[in-house]
Amino acid sequence: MSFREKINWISLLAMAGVYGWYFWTVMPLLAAGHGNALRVAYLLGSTVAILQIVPIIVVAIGAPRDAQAPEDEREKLFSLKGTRSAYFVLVAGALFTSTAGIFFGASAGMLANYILLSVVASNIIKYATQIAYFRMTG
Amino acid sequence: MIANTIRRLRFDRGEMTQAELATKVGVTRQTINAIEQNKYSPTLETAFKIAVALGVEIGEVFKYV
Repeated sequence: MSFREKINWISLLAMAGVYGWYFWTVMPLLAAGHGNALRVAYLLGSTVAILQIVPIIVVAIGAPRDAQAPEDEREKLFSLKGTRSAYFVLVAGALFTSTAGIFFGASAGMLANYILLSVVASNIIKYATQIAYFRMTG
Repeated sequence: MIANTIRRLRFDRGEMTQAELATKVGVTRQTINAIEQNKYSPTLETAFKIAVALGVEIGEVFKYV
């Protein structure tokens, strides 16, 4: 498994795990008025960053040459394909959020959470797309 | 489909490893492996670099079949 595929796996698992827990368990409680949803969401953002950075450093120490090498053409192509997939998810999230705000009177806090969900979902799709291409051509 | 003879050419050059070829070409070992197994078609530039690294003409490495 290449260094960049490992990074994609780490990022995917960290983001899906932490924000999956947030949107599934914590957000419904916060939406009901228990605590500040956005403050918790941003705190989890820091948690994701730590959960990504620490394993990536460990992997980089194990393979310093791979870590220092720039992306090659295949990795760049997969990154672009991942970004393209993520774009459609982000657009869908933007349309959903604006619809919720205009037609259903969603609160500012819920709109912020919908935006956060769009960003998280698009990133997960980006990582998953790249991993799928790495697997298909590995 | 683009077929290639990288595996045989590596063998002819004293079992040059995929990692050695990858270093000469400037890509990852996994990319060389993907090209060798016809799972990924390289850019023209990388195709030329592979040919140069193996010391042959590009037509000897890649063929459109």
